[in-house]
Amino acid sequence: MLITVFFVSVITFISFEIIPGDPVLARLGVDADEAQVKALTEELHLNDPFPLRFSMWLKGAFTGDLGTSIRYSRPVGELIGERIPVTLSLALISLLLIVIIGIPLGIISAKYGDRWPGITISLVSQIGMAIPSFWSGIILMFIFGLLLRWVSPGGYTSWEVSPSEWFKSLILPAVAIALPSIATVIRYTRNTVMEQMKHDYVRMAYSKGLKVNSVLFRHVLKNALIPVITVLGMITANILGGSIVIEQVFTLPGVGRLLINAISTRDLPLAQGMILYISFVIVIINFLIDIIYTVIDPRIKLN
Amino acid sequence: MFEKDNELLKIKNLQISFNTPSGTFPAVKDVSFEVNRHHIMGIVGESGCGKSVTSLSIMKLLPSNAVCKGTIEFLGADINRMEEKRIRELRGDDISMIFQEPLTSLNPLWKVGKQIDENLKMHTALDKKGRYQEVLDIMKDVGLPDTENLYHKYPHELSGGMRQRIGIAIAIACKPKLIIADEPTTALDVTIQAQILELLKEINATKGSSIIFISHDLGVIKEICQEVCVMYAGYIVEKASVHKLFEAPKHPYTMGLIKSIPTTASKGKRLFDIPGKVPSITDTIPGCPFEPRCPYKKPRCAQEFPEFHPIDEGHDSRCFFAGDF
Amino acid sequence: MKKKKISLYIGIIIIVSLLILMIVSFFYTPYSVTEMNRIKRFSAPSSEHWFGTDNFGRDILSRIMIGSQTAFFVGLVAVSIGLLFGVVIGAVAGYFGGWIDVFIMRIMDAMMAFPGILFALMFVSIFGVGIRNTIIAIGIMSIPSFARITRSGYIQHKEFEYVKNARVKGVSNIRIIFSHILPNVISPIIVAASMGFSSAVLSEAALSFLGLGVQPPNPSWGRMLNESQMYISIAPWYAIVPGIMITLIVLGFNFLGDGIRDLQDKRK
Repeated sequence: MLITVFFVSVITFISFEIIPGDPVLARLGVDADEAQVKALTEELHLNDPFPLRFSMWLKGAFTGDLGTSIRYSRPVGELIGERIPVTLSLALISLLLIVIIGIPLGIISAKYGDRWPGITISLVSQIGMAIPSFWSGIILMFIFGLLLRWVSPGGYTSWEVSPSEWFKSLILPAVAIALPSIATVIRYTRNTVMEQMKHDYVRMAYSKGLKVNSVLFRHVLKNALIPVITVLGMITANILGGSIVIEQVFTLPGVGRLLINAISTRDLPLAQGMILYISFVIVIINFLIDIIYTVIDPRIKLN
Repeated sequence: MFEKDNELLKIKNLQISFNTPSGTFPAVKDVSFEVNRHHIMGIVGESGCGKSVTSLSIMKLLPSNAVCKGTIEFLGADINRMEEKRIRELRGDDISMIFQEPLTSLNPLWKVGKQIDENLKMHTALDKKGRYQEVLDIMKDVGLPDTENLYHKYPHELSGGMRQRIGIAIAIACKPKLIIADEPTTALDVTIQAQILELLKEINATKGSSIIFISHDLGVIKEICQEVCVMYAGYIVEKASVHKLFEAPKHPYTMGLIKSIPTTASKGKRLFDIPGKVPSITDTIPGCPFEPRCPYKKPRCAQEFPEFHPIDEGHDSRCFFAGDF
Repeated sequence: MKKKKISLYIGIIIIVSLLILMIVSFFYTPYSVTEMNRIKRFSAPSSEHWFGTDNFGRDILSRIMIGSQTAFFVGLVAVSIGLLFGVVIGAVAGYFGGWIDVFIMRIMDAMMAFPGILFALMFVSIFGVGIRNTIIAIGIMSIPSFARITRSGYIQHKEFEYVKNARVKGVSNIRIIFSHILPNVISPIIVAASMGFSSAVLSEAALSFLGLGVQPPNPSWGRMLNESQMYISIAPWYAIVPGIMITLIVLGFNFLGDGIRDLQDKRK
């Protein structure tokens, strides 16, 4: 796990080194004074040998100091910290939607197998997977924000200011992000449940006199969910990726939007810091998922 | 021969076919037999003969594309025409099943004790504590040691023999009148096999459950059953008490099966194998289904279909020339 | 089952229709895509302009038709890149096993855990925006899943008789990998390629939507959605049509992939 983080940080650091353009000039402007340029270059340690700069950066990262944004002239860590609540709220609501809608529908779809409810849900989920999330975001915002005016079109209200407004500002983007992942989860759950139904222990459960729903929920579900957890890792990657785009559509002041700004404005420290941070989060999430595995399946032992 | 109230299960002209996208296939074409109380009935045949399908149909555990014709009378009521709710009441309580492969027939994520407990929860009025005690008792009855610890283990932590004992424990938990054992010892090694057979005999003797014992191994059937049906290609070809079957078999297929049982005498020599193959489920046969492989075949066998008829008292066969053997 | 083949047929119908649209667009579009007409700005769909006009008065249908060229092009090249490297990497990992396998798959797993769009963003921020870098970035992103599927096939087949026979006969490893095993494991890879096509189209659309993908004058449905967002209250059709097109092509390739997979399953 740590190797992955190290690996990613090396790549991140190197890649941004390759970007053409002088960050000092970007900050001070092209007509800057020689002396000023020299001073700033010294201050940013830009003349130091590469390995030294890298280790300094890495050390800083571990202590929470990810550098200073050129554009905002504020610590990267601070900027990220401000925006985490937004992206986190968004991600959690999306995840909730995915689990609450996706898994039950997947089970129902499996229960009815090849009969019409099963096939219908399958078909609908196919369409759900094909719809680009930023498009569904735009359409949702248009219908519910502009036409029906049930929510305000875009922008974010924090929980402290007004919980109901907070929810209203996040529900549409969360739906847009969740839609393709809901579809994926439905398909996946349907497949694993149908596959589990062929196992012997299911027949054994019926032979005890259990009803179909009891068999499904008491016996099959837990077994079927194990492969679904595999997909959970992919789902979180989808949510993170989705939020980057959706935050643009709904102008939410989240981590994703900050990243896009950083890249568009060539704000190296900010972009570097953000990517490192996001990679770290991904690694931690995957690690947590592995732990969940061992908790649910007694056959797996923690290495 | 047996009084009416001794009759537990009566199957008459059972026919089972499967509807698939490529057509309808008959797996069981004509099966009739009775099982009485405290009885151990065997069903023997090679794989594909329809014995498993027959047993599953008794508990209505066949997949939804199966079509069952004929009657399966259990204590007077026809299972084939029974409503779902009633069948669920019977399952686990009056009729239960022991499966062939103990590892896959137990839920890998449930503790083994809980899996026995589930039966009691469904069919008895015992409270949690009462059930726990009862489960421990049942586990002792099937010969499991250290029951309190074992209760909390998972299937993969037990040996094959112990897992099968758990399977048996689940089956006898509610003191069923009929236990269907589908090749319960096939997946176990020989020493454990003997133990399990002893256990089943004991259960039949002490708890009074009838057993339908399914196997492809006549030798095992001989060990435990009182009466046996021999199945071939979806038909019962011979039915008799075990004693009479071995003493004077009345069907060439049975004779072939008996010959292929390994004995101490046949040690070192090549085992007898019935030449030819079992007909596939898609073959339609005009005459006797065993005719292509029969060493005694006559022209009539290929043209006419033999009905199941009594040769002797309590001894039936589906061969035209059974009386001559 | 007849029902299963529906997937395949729907997929083929959709793709073929879109392909025809694309081919036609090379020769004919109702209006020129660059022709701007200030008077006709934001006109709703009509018999003259089936999909209406955009903020410059350009005919949307024509722009959609030309946009299909980009969609197919990006999909094709990106998937080809992914296949080329992915299959080779997966074959090597699966066939040789051992530490090579572990090393390669660790990298692939790390790549798969990363949100694709993040990688694409990094890539274009380093190497610049535009259609070429977009395709390369998407291509690279698709390598791990092809590698994984190829690897499974090789792990399975390298134990089979025909492979052992070939080795005994002294056939070189490279020949075994490509001439002997590859034809046998190619079926799931084809399915993955179809799915890969649709995910490539989605990725390009997202990138272009953010302004960091395909740049003008190259047409892109994703970028059209970006432009349309501003004007959605006056010209909603502008935002609806490109989205439908993206959805269609993705659906088409997904159904196609599913259909091919069902065909293969039936054969077993």
